[in-house]
Amino acid sequence: MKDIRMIFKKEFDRVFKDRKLVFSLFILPAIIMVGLYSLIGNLASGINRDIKEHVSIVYMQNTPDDIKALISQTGYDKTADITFLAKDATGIDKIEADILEGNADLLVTFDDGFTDKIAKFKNGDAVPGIKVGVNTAKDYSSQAYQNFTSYIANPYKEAIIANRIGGAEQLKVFDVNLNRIVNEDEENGQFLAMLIPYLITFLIFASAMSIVIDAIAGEKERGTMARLLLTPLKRRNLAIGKIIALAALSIISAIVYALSMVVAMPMMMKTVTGGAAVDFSIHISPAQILMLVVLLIILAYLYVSLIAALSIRAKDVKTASSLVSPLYIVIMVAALTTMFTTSKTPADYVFMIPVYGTALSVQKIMTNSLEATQFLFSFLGNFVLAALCTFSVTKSFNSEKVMFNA
Amino acid sequence: MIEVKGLTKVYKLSKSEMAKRKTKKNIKCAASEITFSAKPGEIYGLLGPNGAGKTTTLRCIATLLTPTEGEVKVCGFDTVNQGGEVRERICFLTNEIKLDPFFSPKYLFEFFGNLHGLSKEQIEARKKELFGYFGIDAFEDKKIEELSTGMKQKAAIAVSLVQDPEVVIFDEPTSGLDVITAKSVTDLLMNLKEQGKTIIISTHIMSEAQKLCDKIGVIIDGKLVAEGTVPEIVEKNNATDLEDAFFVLYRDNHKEEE
Repeated sequence: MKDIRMIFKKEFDRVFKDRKLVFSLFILPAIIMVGLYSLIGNLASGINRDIKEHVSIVYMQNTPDDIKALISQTGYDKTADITFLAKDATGIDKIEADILEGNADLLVTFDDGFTDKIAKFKNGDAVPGIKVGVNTAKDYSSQAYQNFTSYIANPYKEAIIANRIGGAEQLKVFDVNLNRIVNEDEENGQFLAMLIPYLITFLIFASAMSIVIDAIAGEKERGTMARLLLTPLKRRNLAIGKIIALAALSIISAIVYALSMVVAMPMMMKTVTGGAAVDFSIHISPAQILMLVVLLIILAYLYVSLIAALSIRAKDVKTASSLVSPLYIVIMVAALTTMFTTSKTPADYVFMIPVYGTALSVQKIMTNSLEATQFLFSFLGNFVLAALCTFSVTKSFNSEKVMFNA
Repeated sequence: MIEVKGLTKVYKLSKSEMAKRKTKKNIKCAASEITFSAKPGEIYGLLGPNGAGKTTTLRCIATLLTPTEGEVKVCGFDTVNQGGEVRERICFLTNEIKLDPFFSPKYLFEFFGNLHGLSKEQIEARKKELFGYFGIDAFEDKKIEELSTGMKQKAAIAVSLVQDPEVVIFDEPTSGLDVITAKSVTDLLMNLKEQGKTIIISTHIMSEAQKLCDKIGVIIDGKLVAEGTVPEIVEKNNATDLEDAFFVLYRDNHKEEE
């Protein structure tokens, strides 16, 4: 036990006595995460603001007088720079080419005798129309179309309906009233349930990868592992001490990532939604929190032992990185899969699948609904694989072929 | 005390290694039936060209490799079945085994002292003695990566000697060192010999072997082809000096790999 403690302390000292390493492992990711999310939020809100504030270049052909009156009445002319064209105006092709190039945003053409046709409309007549030329690939053009429908087309239509049948309410046959029967925690947790399992399972792996590869393959490459093997220390204890220390370091690093996200995500959402607060608050029971903590610890143990089992077979950091890379993809896929699941809970045995089972469990914890059997299965699935990997690492520490290429 | 009896070490070669060595054999015999012994207060030198099997022999003595056949005993303990006991009593120095560059000599000295089960007082006493001898006090808190090659070598030797080992195994002790650091290493070996330690070194430098070793074993192609004091080896081979004797032995025993 004393041996394991000494190796644990050495691995921690290796990280925490090196300011550069502390910065790159724990501080830089937090800065990057907060900075990145703020940047995304600011850029997204900047784009939205720019689109909203853009004065559209709109051409209106054959515009009826009452529409012209509506334009100034609704203030549409403040959102658009409108050019009125006569019925037989030339240069329409040029305007369409400008819309395609993004130099103009909208071309609105009213049917000949538009107002008269509406006024004299009888059942069976052809419905009078407005032809709108819009480039849906351009944000400015799409926004110009939205503005036209909300400022002009819809109010005009509603006014005509009101004229014809005495009000839009006449069209309403019955109301559908929504009676919300919902668990607020479950509803609020839906978003987090989709995102958090992926982030947690993936980020712990990302944190573990660099630390473990350096501590195992890095030590072999630097020639410092052999010095440890020359001490009376039992090789099993060396392997266990390293794995425990590295799992603890990975969890700390993952917590930093997660906390940075907790801080950064509402900031980003607030910026995107233009200052409106977004409610991510959920209430998770202490039992579920306990299960989450246990699952995170076992997951970190699994990742560290998996990466260690591969890294120990490599003679240097570069080879270890290429051995671990496919595993990185597998973990990412397993974590991503949980983002696309339905409300239907899989059978309990599915929770035994390492990594995927944990991601499912974390997903259920976010909605306060993980059951004891599912937790147990998830724990066992990870633990068995991690124990096998630890056994493999211990065997490798005893193998001269692996340790000295003999 | 080191006793090596019939030590044979065979490596299995992978296909890429076979291609690299341009051989059709999938095994390589790095050491073949090597037998010798080294006593306390004696420096035993393994002399041979590169790739002769010197390092393999030393690694078997240091418990890093397991002999394919034969037996190696250090201070009466078997290196295969009593590896822990052997490692408590030896120090193995080689250029390939290095100190963690991120720690200071002081940290590593205390860490390895603890791993060898020494008390805080014992570690402090050894540190005072060894750091004083090598002049490490001046840079004991600097990281290994910040030290010069000579300083690193001194720190590595001091850390390896932390538990005051009975047996010192040194692979190419002066290889890659400047004249001054090399001198301090050879002085240390003589000092350790006077303290009654059993010392075994490997070298391909004739002058070093002649100057330091009480007894020499010449290894060529994994076989111990001659053993004795320097004058004995010179005389047996009708040579003028050790270098001349070595070339005679090499000519008579070396075979090109098939």
